[in-house]
Amino acid sequence: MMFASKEGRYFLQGNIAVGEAAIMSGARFFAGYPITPSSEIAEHASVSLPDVGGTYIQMEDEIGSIAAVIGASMTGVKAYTATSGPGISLMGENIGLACMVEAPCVIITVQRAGPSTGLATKPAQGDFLQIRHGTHGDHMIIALSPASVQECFDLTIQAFNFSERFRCPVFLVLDGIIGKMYETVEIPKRDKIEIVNRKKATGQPEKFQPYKTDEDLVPPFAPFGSSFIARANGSGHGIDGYPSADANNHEQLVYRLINKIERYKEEISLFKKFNTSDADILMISYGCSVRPAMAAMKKAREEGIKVGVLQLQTLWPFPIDIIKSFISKVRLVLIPELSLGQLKSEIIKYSKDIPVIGINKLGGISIQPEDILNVLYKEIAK
Amino acid sequence: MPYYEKDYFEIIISGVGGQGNVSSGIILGEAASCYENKFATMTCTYGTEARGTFAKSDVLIGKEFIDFYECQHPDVILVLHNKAYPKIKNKIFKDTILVVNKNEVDQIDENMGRIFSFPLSDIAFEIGSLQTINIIALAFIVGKTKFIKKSSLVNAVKNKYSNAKIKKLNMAAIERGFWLLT
Repeated sequence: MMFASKEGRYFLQGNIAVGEAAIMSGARFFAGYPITPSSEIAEHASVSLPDVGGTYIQMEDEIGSIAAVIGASMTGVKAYTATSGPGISLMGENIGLACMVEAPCVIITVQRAGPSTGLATKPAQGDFLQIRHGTHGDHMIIALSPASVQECFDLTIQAFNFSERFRCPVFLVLDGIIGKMYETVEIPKRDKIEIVNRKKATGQPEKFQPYKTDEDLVPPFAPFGSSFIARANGSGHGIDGYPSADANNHEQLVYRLINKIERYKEEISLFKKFNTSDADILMISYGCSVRPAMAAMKKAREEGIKVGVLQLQTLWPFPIDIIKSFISKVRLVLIPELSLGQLKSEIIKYSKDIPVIGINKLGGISIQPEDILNVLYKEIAK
Repeated sequence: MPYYEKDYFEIIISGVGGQGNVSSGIILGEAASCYENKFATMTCTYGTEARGTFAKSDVLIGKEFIDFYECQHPDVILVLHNKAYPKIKNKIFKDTILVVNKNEVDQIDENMGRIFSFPLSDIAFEIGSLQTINIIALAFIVGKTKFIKKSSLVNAVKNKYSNAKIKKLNMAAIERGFWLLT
Protein backbone atom coordinates (compact mmCIF):
# COMPACT_ATOMS: atom_id res chain seq x y z
CA MET A 1 0.00 0.00 0.00
CA MET A 2 1.72 3.11 -1.19
CA PHE A 3 0.28 6.41 -0.14
CA ALA A 4 1.44 8.45 -3.10
CA SER A 5 2.00 5.90 -5.84
CA LYS A 6 0.71 8.33 -8.47
CA GLU A 7 2.08 11.75 -9.25
CA GLY A 8 0.17 14.66 -7.77
CA ARG A 9 -0.29 16.79 -4.69
CA TYR A 10 -0.44 15.19 -1.28
CA PHE A 11 -0.48 16.21 2.37
CA LEU A 12 2.09 13.83 3.84
CA GLN A 13 4.10 13.39 6.98
CA GLY A 14 7.87 13.86 6.57
CA ASN A 15 8.60 10.28 7.64
CA ILE A 16 6.04 8.94 5.16
CA ALA A 17 7.45 11.07 2.33
CA VAL A 18 10.84 9.49 3.08
CA GLY A 19 9.29 6.01 2.91
CA GLU A 20 7.51 6.75 -0.38
CA ALA A 21 10.70 8.10 -1.95
CA ALA A 22 12.71 5.09 -0.74
CA ILE A 23 10.40 2.73 -2.58
CA MET A 24 10.38 4.93 -5.69
CA SER A 25 14.20 4.90 -5.55
CA GLY A 26 14.02 1.15 -5.93
CA ALA A 27 14.74 0.22 -2.30
CA ARG A 28 13.45 -3.28 -1.59
CA PHE A 29 14.88 -4.13 1.83
CA PHE A 30 14.39 -2.58 5.23
CA ALA A 31 15.69 -3.87 8.54
CA GLY A 32 15.14 -1.81 11.64
CA TYR A 33 14.11 -1.45 15.23
CA PRO A 34 11.40 1.22 15.45
CA ILE A 35 12.14 4.22 17.64
CA THR A 36 10.41 7.59 17.87
CA PRO A 37 10.45 10.02 16.18
CA SER A 38 11.33 7.76 13.22
CA SER A 39 8.81 4.94 13.79
CA GLU A 40 6.53 5.78 10.85
CA ILE A 41 9.35 5.01 8.41
CA ALA A 42 9.53 1.43 9.70
CA GLU A 43 5.74 1.18 9.79
CA HIS A 44 5.50 2.45 6.22
CA ALA A 45 8.17 -0.03 5.05
CA SER A 46 6.40 -2.93 6.78
CA VAL A 47 3.22 -2.19 4.86
CA SER A 48 4.66 -1.03 1.53
CA LEU A 49 7.65 -3.28 0.86
CA PRO A 50 5.75 -6.62 0.71
CA ASP A 51 3.48 -5.07 -1.93
CA VAL A 52 6.40 -4.41 -4.26
CA GLY A 53 8.14 -7.74 -3.68
CA GLY A 54 10.46 -6.30 -1.06
CA THR A 55 11.39 -7.46 2.43
CA TYR A 56 10.80 -5.87 5.82
CA ILE A 57 12.44 -7.32 8.91
CA GLN A 58 11.90 -6.03 12.42
CA MET A 59 15.23 -6.83 14.04
CA GLU A 60 16.22 -7.55 17.62
CA ASP A 61 18.12 -4.26 17.87
CA GLU A 62 19.95 -1.64 15.82
CA ILE A 63 23.22 -3.60 15.72
CA GLY A 64 21.40 -6.36 13.88
CA SER A 65 19.47 -3.84 11.76
CA ILE A 66 22.48 -2.24 10.11
CA ALA A 67 24.18 -5.65 9.77
CA ALA A 68 21.15 -7.01 7.89
CA VAL A 69 21.05 -3.89 5.70
CA ILE A 70 24.72 -4.34 4.75
CA GLY A 71 24.14 -8.04 4.02
CA ALA A 72 21.13 -7.28 1.84
CA SER A 73 23.01 -4.55 0.01
CA MET A 74 25.86 -6.95 -0.81
CA THR A 75 23.37 -9.21 -2.59
CA GLY A 76 22.57 -6.26 -4.87
CA VAL A 77 19.38 -4.96 -3.24
CA LYS A 78 18.89 -1.32 -2.37
CA ALA A 79 18.54 -1.33 1.42
CA TYR A 80 17.74 1.16 4.16
CA THR A 81 17.10 1.52 7.85
CA ALA A 82 15.61 4.25 10.04
CA THR A 83 16.38 5.16 13.61
CA SER A 84 17.22 8.03 15.96
CA GLY A 85 20.37 9.03 17.87
CA PRO A 86 20.24 6.10 20.34
CA GLY A 87 20.06 3.69 17.40
CA ILE A 88 22.95 5.37 15.58
CA SER A 89 25.00 4.88 18.76
CA LEU A 90 24.39 1.13 18.52
CA MET A 91 24.99 1.06 14.77
CA GLY A 92 28.35 2.80 15.14
CA GLU A 93 30.64 -0.17 14.57
CA ASN A 94 28.81 -1.51 11.52
CA ILE A 95 28.52 1.90 9.87
CA GLY A 96 32.31 1.58 9.55
CA LEU A 97 31.80 -1.88 8.04
CA ALA A 98 29.47 -0.38 5.42
CA CYS A 99 32.18 2.19 4.57
CA MET A 100 34.89 -0.49 4.42
CA VAL A 101 33.06 -3.10 2.31
CA GLU A 102 31.54 -0.29 0.25
CA ALA A 103 27.95 -1.37 0.77
CA PRO A 104 25.53 1.19 -0.67
CA CYS A 105 22.79 1.86 1.88
CA VAL A 106 20.74 4.71 3.31
CA ILE A 107 20.65 5.28 7.05
CA ILE A 108 17.83 7.59 8.08
CA THR A 109 18.15 9.23 11.45
CA VAL A 110 15.39 11.38 12.91
CA GLN A 111 17.13 13.32 15.64
CA ARG A 112 15.63 13.58 19.12
CA ALA A 113 16.82 15.24 22.30
CA GLY A 114 19.68 13.38 23.99
CA PRO A 115 21.98 12.30 25.46
CA SER A 116 20.92 8.70 26.11
CA THR A 117 17.16 8.12 25.96
CA GLY A 118 16.79 11.89 26.33
CA LEU A 119 13.31 13.09 25.43
CA ALA A 120 11.52 10.40 23.47
CA THR A 121 9.60 11.91 20.50
CA LYS A 122 10.97 15.42 21.07
CA PRO A 123 13.14 17.05 18.41
CA ALA A 124 16.79 18.10 18.54
CA GLN A 125 19.78 18.60 16.25
CA GLY A 126 22.42 17.26 18.60
CA ASP A 127 23.65 14.41 16.40
CA PHE A 128 25.38 16.53 13.75
CA LEU A 129 28.83 15.40 14.86
CA GLN A 130 27.77 11.85 15.75
CA ILE A 131 26.78 11.29 12.13
CA ARG A 132 30.23 12.36 10.96
CA HIS A 133 32.34 10.72 13.64
CA GLY A 134 30.09 7.99 15.06
CA THR A 135 32.21 5.16 13.72
CA HIS A 136 35.91 4.74 14.38
CA GLY A 137 38.81 5.18 12.02
CA ASP A 138 39.50 7.69 9.24
CA HIS A 139 36.60 7.73 6.86
CA MET A 140 34.21 10.03 5.01
CA ILE A 141 30.46 9.84 4.82
CA ILE A 142 27.73 11.69 2.97
CA ALA A 143 24.86 13.22 4.96
CA LEU A 144 21.85 15.08 3.55
CA SER A 145 19.25 16.95 5.58
CA PRO A 146 15.77 18.14 4.53
CA ALA A 147 14.00 21.22 5.93
CA SER A 148 10.52 20.49 4.56
CA VAL A 149 8.41 17.48 3.70
CA GLN A 150 9.01 18.14 -0.01
CA GLU A 151 12.74 17.96 0.67
CA CYS A 152 12.19 14.73 2.64
CA PHE A 153 10.97 13.22 -0.61
CA ASP A 154 13.55 14.81 -2.91
CA LEU A 155 16.60 14.23 -0.72
CA THR A 156 15.69 10.58 -0.03
CA ILE A 157 15.88 9.97 -3.79
CA GLN A 158 19.19 11.85 -3.81
CA ALA A 159 20.50 9.84 -0.82
CA PHE A 160 19.87 6.52 -2.59
CA ASN A 161 21.43 7.87 -5.78
CA PHE A 162 24.60 9.01 -3.99
CA SER A 163 24.87 5.72 -2.08
CA GLU A 164 24.60 3.74 -5.32
CA ARG A 165 26.97 5.95 -7.27
CA PHE A 166 29.69 6.16 -4.62
CA ARG A 167 29.06 2.73 -3.01
CA CYS A 168 28.94 4.13 0.49
CA PRO A 169 26.46 4.56 3.34
CA VAL A 170 24.54 7.82 3.06
CA PHE A 171 22.84 9.43 6.04
CA LEU A 172 19.51 11.15 5.64
CA VAL A 173 19.31 13.43 8.66
CA LEU A 174 15.88 14.55 9.84
CA ASP A 175 14.80 15.86 13.21
CA GLY A 176 11.67 15.27 15.25
CA ILE A 177 9.99 18.34 13.75
CA ILE A 178 10.61 17.63 10.05
CA GLY A 179 9.98 13.89 10.44
CA LYS A 180 6.66 14.31 12.24
CA MET A 181 5.30 17.37 10.45
CA TYR A 182 2.72 17.13 7.68
CA GLU A 183 3.04 19.29 4.61
CA THR A 184 1.96 19.73 1.01
CA VAL A 185 4.13 17.62 -1.30
CA GLU A 186 4.30 17.39 -5.08
CA ILE A 187 5.16 13.87 -6.20
CA PRO A 188 6.57 14.00 -9.74
CA LYS A 189 5.91 11.46 -12.48
CA ARG A 190 8.01 8.33 -12.15
CA ASP A 191 9.83 8.98 -15.41
CA LYS A 192 10.81 12.46 -14.21
CA ILE A 193 12.68 11.02 -11.22
CA GLU A 194 16.32 10.24 -11.92
CA ILE A 195 17.32 6.91 -10.40
CA VAL A 196 20.97 5.85 -10.18
CA ASN A 197 21.99 2.19 -9.88
CA ARG A 198 25.41 0.89 -8.87
CA LYS A 199 27.89 -0.04 -11.59
CA LYS A 200 27.81 -3.74 -12.38
CA ALA A 201 30.79 -6.07 -12.70
CA THR A 202 31.80 -7.01 -16.25
CA GLY A 203 34.35 -9.33 -17.81
CA GLN A 204 35.26 -12.86 -16.79
CA PRO A 205 33.49 -13.77 -13.52
CA GLU A 206 36.25 -16.04 -12.21
CA LYS A 207 38.93 -13.37 -12.76
CA PHE A 208 36.91 -10.56 -11.19
CA GLN A 209 38.67 -8.46 -8.55
CA PRO A 210 35.97 -7.12 -6.20
CA TYR A 211 37.84 -3.93 -5.19
CA LYS A 212 39.56 -2.98 -8.41
CA THR A 213 38.29 0.49 -9.16
CA ASP A 214 37.56 2.50 -12.24
CA GLU A 215 38.71 6.06 -12.89
CA ASP A 216 36.10 7.36 -10.45
CA LEU A 217 37.69 5.38 -7.57
CA VAL A 218 34.50 3.30 -7.19
CA PRO A 219 34.73 -0.49 -7.76
CA PRO A 220 32.07 -2.11 -9.97
CA PHE A 221 29.73 -4.28 -7.95
CA ALA A 222 29.21 -8.05 -8.07
CA PRO A 223 26.42 -9.37 -5.86
CA PHE A 224 26.83 -12.33 -3.57
CA GLY A 225 25.26 -15.33 -5.26
CA SER A 226 26.23 -14.37 -8.83
CA SER A 227 28.88 -16.12 -10.94
CA PHE A 228 31.33 -13.30 -10.13
CA ILE A 229 33.73 -13.58 -7.22
CA ALA A 230 32.33 -11.59 -4.30
CA ARG A 231 34.17 -10.82 -1.08
CA ALA A 232 33.39 -8.35 1.69
CA ASN A 233 35.92 -7.74 4.41
CA GLY A 234 35.96 -5.25 7.27
CA SER A 235 39.70 -5.72 7.69
CA GLY A 236 42.24 -4.05 5.43
CA HIS A 237 41.98 -5.74 2.07
CA GLY A 238 43.57 -5.70 -1.35
CA ILE A 239 41.77 -5.30 -4.65
CA ASP A 240 41.08 -9.05 -4.61
CA GLY A 241 39.10 -8.64 -1.37
CA TYR A 242 41.42 -10.83 0.71
CA PRO A 243 42.73 -9.47 4.03
CA SER A 244 45.92 -7.45 3.82
CA ALA A 245 47.89 -5.83 6.64
CA ASP A 246 50.31 -4.20 4.22
CA ALA A 247 51.02 -0.59 5.24
CA ASN A 248 50.94 0.88 1.74
CA ASN A 249 47.79 -1.00 0.86
CA HIS A 250 46.02 0.29 3.97
CA GLU A 251 47.05 3.85 3.25
CA GLN A 252 45.84 3.61 -0.35
CA LEU A 253 42.58 1.99 0.69
CA VAL A 254 41.67 4.58 3.32
CA TYR A 255 42.64 7.46 1.03
CA ARG A 256 40.52 5.98 -1.75
CA LEU A 257 37.47 5.52 0.49
CA ILE A 258 37.73 9.20 1.42
CA ASN A 259 38.70 10.54 -1.99
CA LYS A 260 35.96 8.77 -3.92
CA ILE A 261 33.64 11.17 -2.05
CA GLU A 262 35.91 14.22 -1.59
CA ARG A 263 36.72 14.38 -5.29
CA TYR A 264 33.02 14.93 -6.11
CA LYS A 265 32.35 17.25 -3.21
CA GLU A 266 31.14 20.08 -5.43
CA GLU A 267 28.41 17.89 -6.93
CA ILE A 268 27.51 16.44 -3.54
CA SER A 269 27.28 19.83 -1.76
CA LEU A 270 23.63 20.77 -2.04
CA PHE A 271 22.39 24.02 -0.56
CA LYS A 272 19.75 26.73 -0.93
CA LYS A 273 20.26 30.45 -0.58
CA PHE A 274 17.64 33.05 0.24
CA ASN A 275 18.24 36.81 -0.11
CA THR A 276 21.99 36.37 0.12
CA SER A 277 23.01 38.61 -2.81
CA ASP A 278 22.78 41.91 -0.91
CA ALA A 279 22.93 40.51 2.64
CA ASP A 280 25.47 41.78 5.14
CA ILE A 281 24.20 39.43 7.84
CA LEU A 282 23.94 35.71 7.11
CA MET A 283 22.10 32.94 8.93
CA ILE A 284 23.40 29.44 8.28
CA SER A 285 21.22 26.53 9.31
CA TYR A 286 19.86 23.12 8.38
CA GLY A 287 16.76 21.00 9.02
CA CYS A 288 13.94 22.39 11.15
CA SER A 289 15.89 25.48 12.26
CA VAL A 290 15.89 26.82 8.70
CA ARG A 291 12.17 27.52 9.06
CA PRO A 292 12.23 30.02 11.97
CA ALA A 293 15.34 31.52 10.32
CA MET A 294 13.31 32.16 7.14
CA ALA A 295 10.51 33.78 9.13
CA ALA A 296 12.99 35.91 11.08
CA MET A 297 14.73 36.94 7.84
CA LYS A 298 11.48 38.21 6.30
CA LYS A 299 10.60 40.17 9.44
CA ALA A 300 14.07 41.72 9.58
CA ARG A 301 13.93 42.59 5.87
CA GLU A 302 10.66 44.47 6.46
CA GLU A 303 12.64 46.62 8.86
CA GLY A 304 15.39 47.19 6.34
CA ILE A 305 17.93 44.82 7.89
CA LYS A 306 19.77 43.01 5.12
CA VAL A 307 19.70 39.41 6.26
CA GLY A 308 20.09 36.28 4.13
CA VAL A 309 19.73 32.58 4.83
CA LEU A 310 22.06 29.80 3.69
CA GLN A 311 20.41 26.40 4.08
CA LEU A 312 22.77 23.44 4.08
CA GLN A 313 21.13 20.39 2.52
CA THR A 314 24.43 18.52 2.47
CA LEU A 315 25.96 18.39 5.95
CA TRP A 316 28.84 16.04 5.19
CA PRO A 317 31.31 16.22 3.58
CA PHE A 318 31.24 19.68 5.12
CA PRO A 319 30.82 22.24 2.31
CA ILE A 320 33.85 24.31 3.30
CA ASP A 321 34.19 26.23 0.02
CA ILE A 322 30.52 27.21 -0.01
CA ILE A 323 30.67 28.33 3.61
CA LYS A 324 33.82 30.37 2.96
CA SER A 325 32.44 32.08 -0.12
CA PHE A 326 29.21 33.15 1.61
CA ILE A 327 30.82 34.16 4.91
CA SER A 328 33.42 36.35 3.22
CA LYS A 329 30.68 38.74 2.01
CA VAL A 330 29.02 39.47 5.38
CA ARG A 331 29.83 41.18 8.66
CA LEU A 332 27.94 38.85 10.99
CA VAL A 333 26.93 35.19 10.97
CA LEU A 334 24.08 33.69 13.04
CA ILE A 335 23.71 29.92 13.47
CA PRO A 336 20.29 28.79 14.76
CA GLU A 337 20.34 25.10 15.74
CA LEU A 338 18.66 22.81 18.27
CA SER A 339 21.95 21.90 19.91
CA LEU A 340 24.62 23.71 21.88
CA GLY A 341 26.52 24.70 18.77
CA GLN A 342 27.65 21.64 16.83
CA LEU A 343 27.16 23.22 13.40
CA LYS A 344 28.72 26.41 14.72
CA SER A 345 31.79 24.48 15.91
CA GLU A 346 32.43 23.48 12.30
CA ILE A 347 31.73 26.91 10.80
CA ILE A 348 34.06 28.85 13.11
CA LYS A 349 36.98 26.88 11.65
CA TYR A 350 36.51 28.89 8.45
CA SER A 351 35.06 32.22 9.58
CA LYS A 352 38.37 33.99 10.34
CA ASP A 353 37.60 37.30 12.11
CA ILE A 354 33.89 37.48 11.19
CA PRO A 355 31.79 37.10 14.34
CA VAL A 356 29.72 33.91 14.49
CA ILE A 357 26.87 33.83 17.03
CA GLY A 358 25.00 30.65 17.91
CA ILE A 359 21.26 30.63 18.63
CA ASN A 360 20.75 27.45 20.57
CA LYS A 361 17.85 25.73 22.23
CA LEU A 362 17.37 22.58 24.28
CA GLY A 363 14.23 21.07 25.77
CA GLY A 364 12.86 19.42 22.66
CA ILE A 365 11.06 22.51 21.40
CA SER A 366 11.48 24.56 18.24
CA ILE A 367 13.47 27.75 17.95
CA GLN A 368 11.02 30.63 17.53
CA PRO A 369 11.52 33.44 14.99
CA GLU A 370 11.58 35.87 17.96
CA ASP A 371 14.50 33.97 19.52
CA ILE A 372 16.50 34.75 16.40
CA LEU A 373 15.26 38.36 16.08
CA ASN A 374 16.17 39.08 19.71
CA VAL A 375 19.76 38.01 19.10
CA LEU A 376 19.85 39.86 15.80
CA TYR A 377 18.66 43.16 17.33
CA LYS A 378 21.11 42.79 20.20
CA GLU A 379 24.03 42.19 17.87
CA ILE A 380 23.11 45.09 15.59
CA ALA A 381 22.87 47.45 18.58
CA LYS A 382 26.44 46.64 19.65
CA MET B 1 -10.57 41.47 5.28
CA PRO B 2 -12.61 38.27 4.80
CA TYR B 3 -10.68 35.13 5.69
CA TYR B 4 -10.88 33.65 2.20
CA GLU B 5 -9.02 36.65 0.82
CA LYS B 6 -6.14 36.35 3.26
CA ASP B 7 -2.83 34.97 2.03
CA TYR B 8 -2.48 32.97 5.11
CA PHE B 9 -4.66 31.25 7.72
CA GLU B 10 -3.74 29.74 11.10
CA ILE B 11 -5.81 27.32 13.17
CA ILE B 12 -5.08 25.49 16.42
CA ILE B 13 -7.04 22.32 17.19
CA SER B 14 -6.70 21.49 20.88
CA GLY B 15 -8.10 18.88 23.20
CA VAL B 16 -7.03 15.66 24.88
CA GLY B 17 -5.99 12.28 23.51
CA GLY B 18 -4.57 13.18 20.19
CA GLN B 19 -5.80 11.04 17.33
CA GLY B 20 -8.84 13.21 16.60
CA ASN B 21 -6.72 16.37 16.74
CA VAL B 22 -4.18 14.91 14.34
CA SER B 23 -6.68 13.43 11.89
CA SER B 24 -8.78 16.59 11.71
CA GLY B 25 -5.59 18.54 10.98
CA ILE B 26 -4.80 16.09 8.19
CA ILE B 27 -8.30 16.55 6.75
CA LEU B 28 -7.84 20.34 6.66
CA GLY B 29 -4.37 19.97 5.14
CA GLU B 30 -5.63 17.59 2.47
CA ALA B 31 -8.61 19.80 1.70
CA ALA B 32 -6.30 22.77 1.11
CA SER B 33 -3.43 20.90 -0.61
CA CYS B 34 -5.28 18.44 -2.83
CA TYR B 35 -8.53 20.26 -3.63
CA GLU B 36 -7.52 23.93 -3.64
CA ASN B 37 -3.88 23.92 -4.75
CA LYS B 38 -2.91 25.70 -1.56
CA PHE B 39 0.07 24.99 0.68
CA ALA B 40 -0.50 23.56 4.15
CA THR B 41 1.74 22.62 7.02
CA MET B 42 0.91 20.97 10.34
CA THR B 43 2.84 20.21 13.52
CA CYS B 44 1.36 18.33 16.44
CA THR B 45 2.07 18.23 20.14
CA TYR B 46 1.04 15.33 22.31
CA GLY B 47 2.38 13.40 25.26
CA THR B 48 3.77 9.88 25.43
CA GLU B 49 0.77 8.75 27.51
CA ALA B 50 -1.69 6.42 25.79
CA ARG B 51 -4.68 8.67 26.41
CA GLY B 52 -6.01 11.64 28.32
CA THR B 53 -3.13 14.01 27.79
CA PHE B 54 -3.20 17.48 26.24
CA ALA B 55 -2.94 17.37 22.47
CA LYS B 56 -2.71 20.15 19.92
CA SER B 57 -2.33 20.52 16.18
CA ASP B 58 -1.11 23.72 14.55
CA VAL B 59 -2.41 23.91 10.99
CA LEU B 60 -1.25 26.71 8.70
CA ILE B 61 -2.69 27.21 5.24
CA GLY B 62 -1.41 29.67 2.67
CA LYS B 63 -1.20 30.50 -0.98
CA GLU B 64 2.56 29.91 -0.93
CA PHE B 65 5.16 27.93 1.02
CA ILE B 66 4.87 28.68 4.74
CA ASP B 67 8.16 29.44 6.49
CA PHE B 68 7.43 28.77 10.14
CA TYR B 69 5.36 25.76 11.14
CA GLU B 70 3.83 26.95 14.43
CA CYS B 71 0.85 29.30 14.75
CA GLN B 72 2.01 32.78 15.72
CA HIS B 73 -1.32 34.60 15.53
CA PRO B 74 -4.13 32.04 15.18
CA ASP B 75 -7.25 33.06 13.29
CA VAL B 76 -9.15 30.22 14.95
CA ILE B 77 -8.62 28.06 18.04
CA LEU B 78 -10.80 25.03 18.68
CA VAL B 79 -10.93 24.04 22.35
CA LEU B 80 -12.52 20.65 22.94
CA HIS B 81 -11.47 20.03 26.53
CA ASN B 82 -10.85 21.91 29.78
CA LYS B 83 -7.25 20.64 29.95
CA ALA B 84 -6.48 22.41 26.68
CA TYR B 85 -7.71 25.90 27.53
CA PRO B 86 -4.86 27.00 29.85
CA LYS B 87 -2.30 25.69 27.36
CA ILE B 88 -3.61 27.71 24.42
CA LYS B 89 -4.69 30.81 26.39
CA ASN B 90 -1.56 32.80 25.52
CA LYS B 91 -2.34 32.35 21.81
CA ILE B 92 -5.75 34.04 21.99
CA PHE B 93 -5.73 37.44 20.32
CA LYS B 94 -8.55 39.98 20.22
CA ASP B 95 -9.61 38.87 16.75
CA THR B 96 -9.10 35.13 17.33
CA ILE B 97 -12.23 33.04 16.86
CA LEU B 98 -12.49 30.65 19.78
CA VAL B 99 -14.73 27.65 19.17
CA VAL B 100 -15.49 25.99 22.49
CA ASN B 101 -17.03 22.66 23.44
CA LYS B 102 -19.44 23.77 26.16
CA ASN B 103 -19.80 20.20 27.48
CA GLU B 104 -16.19 19.91 28.54
CA VAL B 105 -14.89 23.48 28.87
CA ASP B 106 -16.42 25.55 31.65
CA GLN B 107 -13.74 27.94 32.84
CA ILE B 108 -12.99 30.43 30.13
CA ASP B 109 -12.23 34.11 30.13
CA GLU B 110 -15.23 35.66 28.36
CA ASN B 111 -13.16 38.72 27.42
CA MET B 112 -10.58 36.84 25.40
CA GLY B 113 -11.22 36.30 21.70
CA ARG B 114 -14.49 36.02 19.80
CA ILE B 115 -16.18 33.08 21.51
CA PHE B 116 -18.55 30.62 19.86
CA SER B 117 -19.65 28.04 22.39
CA PHE B 118 -21.67 24.90 21.56
CA PRO B 119 -22.45 21.61 23.32
CA LEU B 120 -20.31 19.76 20.76
CA SER B 121 -20.17 16.47 22.71
CA ASP B 122 -23.99 16.34 22.94
CA ILE B 123 -24.34 17.10 19.23
CA ALA B 124 -21.79 14.38 18.35
CA PHE B 125 -23.69 11.85 20.46
CA GLU B 126 -26.92 12.83 18.69
CA ILE B 127 -25.26 12.12 15.35
CA GLY B 128 -24.19 8.73 16.64
CA SER B 129 -20.55 8.96 17.69
CA LEU B 130 -18.49 11.22 19.92
CA GLN B 131 -15.67 10.80 17.41
CA THR B 132 -17.49 13.06 14.94
CA ILE B 133 -16.91 16.01 17.29
CA ASN B 134 -13.87 17.29 15.38
CA ILE B 135 -15.67 17.21 12.05
CA ILE B 136 -18.69 19.08 13.42
CA ALA B 137 -16.34 21.77 14.72
CA LEU B 138 -14.30 21.89 11.49
CA ALA B 139 -17.46 22.31 9.43
CA PHE B 140 -18.56 25.20 11.62
CA ILE B 141 -15.13 26.80 11.31
CA VAL B 142 -15.06 26.38 7.52
CA GLY B 143 -18.58 27.79 7.28
CA LYS B 144 -17.79 30.72 9.54
CA THR B 145 -14.51 31.76 7.94
CA LYS B 146 -14.74 30.27 4.40
CA PHE B 147 -10.95 29.96 4.32
CA ILE B 148 -11.49 26.78 2.34
CA LYS B 149 -14.58 25.70 0.39
CA LYS B 150 -17.19 23.39 1.87
CA SER B 151 -16.73 21.08 -1.14
CA SER B 152 -13.01 20.71 -0.34
CA LEU B 153 -13.82 19.68 3.22
CA VAL B 154 -16.43 17.21 1.98
CA ASN B 155 -13.99 15.72 -0.55
CA ALA B 156 -11.21 15.41 2.02
CA VAL B 157 -13.52 13.68 4.53
CA LYS B 158 -14.87 11.32 1.86
CA ASN B 159 -11.33 10.47 0.81
CA LYS B 160 -10.22 9.87 4.40
CA TYR B 161 -12.80 7.25 5.37
CA SER B 162 -13.36 4.18 3.22
CA ASN B 163 -15.87 2.57 5.60
CA ALA B 164 -19.36 3.50 4.35
CA LYS B 165 -20.88 3.79 7.82
CA ILE B 166 -18.12 6.07 9.13
CA LYS B 167 -18.26 8.14 5.96
CA LYS B 168 -22.03 8.61 6.42
CA LEU B 169 -21.59 9.66 10.06
CA ASN B 170 -18.98 12.25 9.10
CA MET B 171 -21.09 13.61 6.25
CA ALA B 172 -23.88 14.11 8.78
CA ALA B 173 -21.36 15.81 11.06
CA ILE B 174 -20.40 18.27 8.31
CA GLU B 175 -24.05 19.19 7.69
CA ARG B 176 -24.61 19.60 11.43
CA GLY B 177 -21.56 21.83 11.73
CA PHE B 178 -22.84 24.11 8.97
CA TRP B 179 -26.27 24.11 10.59
CA LEU B 180 -24.69 25.67 13.71
CA LEU B 181 -24.15 28.82 11.67
CA THR B 182 -27.86 29.39 11.34
